[in-house]
Amino acid sequence: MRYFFALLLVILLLPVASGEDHTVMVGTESDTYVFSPAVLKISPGDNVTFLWTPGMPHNVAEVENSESLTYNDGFRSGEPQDGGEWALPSNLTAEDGTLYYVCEPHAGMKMRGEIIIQSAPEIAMEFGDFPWLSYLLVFPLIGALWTFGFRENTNAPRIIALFTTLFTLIISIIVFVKTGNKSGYSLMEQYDWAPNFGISLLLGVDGLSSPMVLLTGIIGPLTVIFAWHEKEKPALFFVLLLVMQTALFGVFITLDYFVFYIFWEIVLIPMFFLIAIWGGDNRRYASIKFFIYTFTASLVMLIGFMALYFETGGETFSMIEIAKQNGNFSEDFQKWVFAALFIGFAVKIPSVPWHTWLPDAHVEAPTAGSILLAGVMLKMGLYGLIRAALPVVPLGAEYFVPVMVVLAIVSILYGAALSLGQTDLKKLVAYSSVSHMGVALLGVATMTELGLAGAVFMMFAHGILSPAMFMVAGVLLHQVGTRDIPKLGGLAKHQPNTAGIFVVIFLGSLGLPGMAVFVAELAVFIAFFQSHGYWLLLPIFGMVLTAGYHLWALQRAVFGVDSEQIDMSDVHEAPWYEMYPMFSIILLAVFFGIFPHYLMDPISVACYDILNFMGAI
Amino acid sequence: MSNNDNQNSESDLLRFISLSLAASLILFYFSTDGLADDFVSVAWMIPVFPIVSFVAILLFGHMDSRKGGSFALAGIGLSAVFSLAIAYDVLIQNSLHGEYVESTRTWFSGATYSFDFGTYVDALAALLLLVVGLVSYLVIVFSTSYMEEEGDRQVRYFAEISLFVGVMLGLVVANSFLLMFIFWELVGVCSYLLIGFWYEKPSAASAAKKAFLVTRVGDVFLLMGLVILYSTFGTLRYSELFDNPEDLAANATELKWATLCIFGGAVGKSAQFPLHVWLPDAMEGPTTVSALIHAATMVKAGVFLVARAYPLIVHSPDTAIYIAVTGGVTAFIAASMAMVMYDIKRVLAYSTISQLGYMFLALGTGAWAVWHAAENGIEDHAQGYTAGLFHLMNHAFFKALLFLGSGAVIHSVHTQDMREMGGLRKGMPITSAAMGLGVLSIAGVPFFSGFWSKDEILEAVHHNSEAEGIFGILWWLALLTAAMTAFYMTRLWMMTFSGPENRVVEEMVESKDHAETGNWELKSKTIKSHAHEAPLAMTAPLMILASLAVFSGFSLFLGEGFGSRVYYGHHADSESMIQWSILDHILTSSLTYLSVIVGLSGVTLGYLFYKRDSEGQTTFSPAFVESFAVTSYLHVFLSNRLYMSKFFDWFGMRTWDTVARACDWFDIYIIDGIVNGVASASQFFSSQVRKLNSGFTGHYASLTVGGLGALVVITRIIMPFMGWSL
Repeated sequence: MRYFFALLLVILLLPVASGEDHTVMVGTESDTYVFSPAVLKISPGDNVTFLWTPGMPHNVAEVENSESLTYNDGFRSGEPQDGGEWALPSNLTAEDGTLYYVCEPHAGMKMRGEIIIQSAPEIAMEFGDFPWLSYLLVFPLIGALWTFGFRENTNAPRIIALFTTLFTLIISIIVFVKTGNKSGYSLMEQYDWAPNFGISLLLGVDGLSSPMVLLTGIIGPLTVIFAWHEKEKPALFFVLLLVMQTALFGVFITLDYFVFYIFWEIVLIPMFFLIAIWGGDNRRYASIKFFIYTFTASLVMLIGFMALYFETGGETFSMIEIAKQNGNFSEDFQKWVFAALFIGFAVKIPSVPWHTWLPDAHVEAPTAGSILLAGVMLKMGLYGLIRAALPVVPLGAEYFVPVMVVLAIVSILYGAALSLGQTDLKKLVAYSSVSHMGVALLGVATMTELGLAGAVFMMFAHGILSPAMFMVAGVLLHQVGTRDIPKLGGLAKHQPNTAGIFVVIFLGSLGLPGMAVFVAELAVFIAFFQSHGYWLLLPIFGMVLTAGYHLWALQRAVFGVDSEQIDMSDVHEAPWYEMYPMFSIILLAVFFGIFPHYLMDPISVACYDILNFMGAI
Repeated sequence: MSNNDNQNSESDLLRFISLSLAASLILFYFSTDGLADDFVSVAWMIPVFPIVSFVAILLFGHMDSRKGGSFALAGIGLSAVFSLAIAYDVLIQNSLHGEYVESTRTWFSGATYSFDFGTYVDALAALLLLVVGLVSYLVIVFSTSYMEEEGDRQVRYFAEISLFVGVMLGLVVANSFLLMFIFWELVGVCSYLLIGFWYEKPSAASAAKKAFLVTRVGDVFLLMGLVILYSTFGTLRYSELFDNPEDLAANATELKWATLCIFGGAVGKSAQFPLHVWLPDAMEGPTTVSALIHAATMVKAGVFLVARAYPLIVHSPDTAIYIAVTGGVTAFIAASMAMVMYDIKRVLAYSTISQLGYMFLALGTGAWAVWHAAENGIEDHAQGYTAGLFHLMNHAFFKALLFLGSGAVIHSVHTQDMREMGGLRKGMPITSAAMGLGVLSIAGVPFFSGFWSKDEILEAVHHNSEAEGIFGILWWLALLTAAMTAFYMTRLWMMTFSGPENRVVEEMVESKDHAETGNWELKSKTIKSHAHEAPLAMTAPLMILASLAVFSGFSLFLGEGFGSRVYYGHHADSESMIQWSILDHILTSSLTYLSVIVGLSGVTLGYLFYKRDSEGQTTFSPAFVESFAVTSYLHVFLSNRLYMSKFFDWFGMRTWDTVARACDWFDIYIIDGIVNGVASASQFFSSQVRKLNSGFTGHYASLTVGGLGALVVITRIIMPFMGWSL
């Protein structure tokens, strides 16, 4: 049924697909001796029509180059005429190149113009000699099967899971390093799957996906260590974590719309069970809401994918191939497709007003689930937006920039205000994710290299610090049995080292320079000012609110006198399996806060490529 | 601890200090290749040493006999030696001749953007290195003794204060506004951590949060300013921004907003009106922290920032006037509040705010003078610039002295309320003498350091008033502030140190039936002073600072004079600012005598009103104030800090609490309500639709046809009609 509707939609859309039409005015009202626009950029196959404004007699005649003023036997509209129109022969615009022309009677007055015909830029595609990316997909799966084989054992599942994730981490570091600062896709692999439909397992990474691969790799072992003492069905728990990791890797390294969609949906399944089995009291509601909400949105996204597939002739699902044809898509088509894709991605980001599944899911999810949800899953939305929407439908994206800006600013401020009002620490962190991802969305909406790079950097920075925040909530729940901020207080005296780690994590999350989030905020804010000017005052004000809810929560929960509402006798330093992950994250956040170029350089290259592809540069 | 032990630990400390300083000197000698002039190659190390000791203290602090103090002494000693050596090179040897040296690298960059980091040393940076290096080292020495009773907590203290010194020095030697902003935020965090040092005290935790949030408001403006600068000029490096005056002049509007925003950052960090509310509360931290961070160094960062941005500000007269007015008004308001406070640290805190206002007044005045002179085609050196920075240096010394002295007092009497002090002169001769010198200096008594800089500032403002009327008003405000300053500082010293050793005080306490009746009763208690002089580790820094408070003003005449090194724009060949001619100028100016008279009358009034008599009572008691309606209301108004702090708390807590609750309600009942509404509606429809799933092909067929028809109607008729098309 889904396919049927998609097909129907696409059939209705088909007739608009052909070359774009451009018009050059010959003599405008204010200045009759110019071509307007004097420099026209078109794609091969586009049509150009010259339209005379009445006033003076002009003609259009080709010349050698940008200096020459004499007609060279090329195209010519005829004798000078006053009014009327003339279409440039379409064979002239079929291939890349530049056409120079003048108005013969007024050539001496610099009445000249040029038409630049440029097809979409080439993308470097480098096929690797070793299938690193396949290993990324396969290893967690093998680990999952292996773990499941030892489900009666108490120790084996967690040791196997840790071993697998550490091994995967090494591979993801290798992938990240091998990708480097190269332009285009690296380590590509292609396996035909359903050639009749143009579906293949097309893998590849660039500067956009390699940080996400690294992030997924890092979060894996940290999650396993943090869940070291999981008592309830540990084997199944770790199996789900590993399956989830495979699916997340799949989303980030696939370059085929169809396979991308499949991985996108597979991610939901382990998360659904993590919430539904290990969740809190209200887990049924939260898990079903999570599933239905995000699944519905994905369907809308799928319609967009199908439209793209059929629009390009139904031959391939390859993102690269489809994006190459973006010059052929009409503006209206691009708007509709972008709207469909944006809804799918915005729910995942999550952007206000589609964010309400997030706090419910987080509050009910076990800490490990929250870590994966906030750390990696939320990044899928923006990743998808940048990877699967921007280069393919650039005009649609440009059309929706104001919408994205408004949603981003509302997300930043509204998310921060909501965080300020929460008493449940986990809910507070959940809403802070809305606020932080709003900053990232704002970066995407700027459509500049710095803004996009800042957005991707924010995805990484938030991807490590927000899990740390959830770990704090998890530690509190273990130690004192509640996450309710008004009931807490005076923890620092009983667990000074743990409290110190809490403080650093909170400071990092609120955007302290020297830690990763700051770099992202800086980049996004500068880019936003460059594209939208003093509107920046609104999102930048969010920084005060962000600092406010972080510090207020710290003051109430960690500092002050001992709370009388909770039993403080059991409060002691957090155990090693909770301290190590938090401490590692602090080290990472400081490292990438001080040396952001290790991430920013590859990201910038990829973002520049994408913008180049969109014709935005 | 016996006396012998005490002496042992003192000689131990002395040995450690001399050894570590000697080692630092040797290291400096070798790393600069025998004091060759390439000191910029070591400038980057200055912030690194304390940061390394921060890490070392975190890792090994517990093993140290001084609980991390040794690491802090070594690390900060190293950077103090390096800083002073650079300051010597630049300020005494004049190795730079008014130029700068920079080393820079790319931090991260892309095809269309680039951010750099590196070091930048000029006379301004050297001056700040001198102040921060010297004061922070003295404060650390003081702390080794002052914080001793904190036990294991000293590890945290020394770690945080080392980090602070490192990032503060980084702020000074940074080569771009961006790097400076990074360190700017980090000093704010260190201040947050140190104000909340006794975090189990709710008031301390709350004050720490308040300090961070209020300065964060300023920081957001500062970041905004940087964003405007970067977007307009494509760089944030000082050298690239300042070397193109034409480019700056061509973008006057952007520059105006950028400099106003940058000054917004300074307003927050330097506790200027209306963001001054955090500084008095910040006194919840240890007194050494107040001395170092909230008097001598961090709060000066705002002044430093404005001085740093001078080449930008001189293109924007609006900003210059705004800076001057903010400074003048803050100086006056803060001084008026300092007159009624009884908490010794709060008096000093308001005094700090007031003196910082003085510096901003001077800087704003100077910037306006430069702009005015350029408009009229004449070159002018900015007297206000030199005067403001001169005051910055002098103030750092005497205010650190006053804070450390008050720390020694608090350490010995265990109260901060000046009403419960008095008669400490005999028990603490060194402390009282040192603080006395500090008081005379800040009061502007002739030939003490504060006198010179205050006089310079007043003269600069007066000079401007000939061209712009508002500076006339500011001059009167500043003069009045000078009198008030002399008054409240004398008051502080008199209430603390004068009078007999033991005396009876009366205080209002809650009566036993207070809960029911709300009655208060007057209760007298005898205060016995057990005051004893502080150990050498505390008195030695006091004595060094006291001598600086007396003599640092003479640097105006040292060599070619302070003004020939620290100046803006045209080199001060003009005779008004150089060597002995300046003394001649000062001594023959009628303005000087006016400010001397004003200062001395303040001191005299303070002495007359607050000298404790043989029973320990002051002439000017609270009861005396209460007896006049006007003064009593004024007193209440000032004691409540103009109700601004309360307003901010109310605004911050109540307003945002309401907004947050409203958002929460909206989120749960409206947004999520719609989501759940849609869910239940679709559940309802699906239960209806289920009846259609009858299994009859005919039903399906008609549904399909109907759906298709509806889609065609929507896409081909309704949507074109609405102007949409596919």
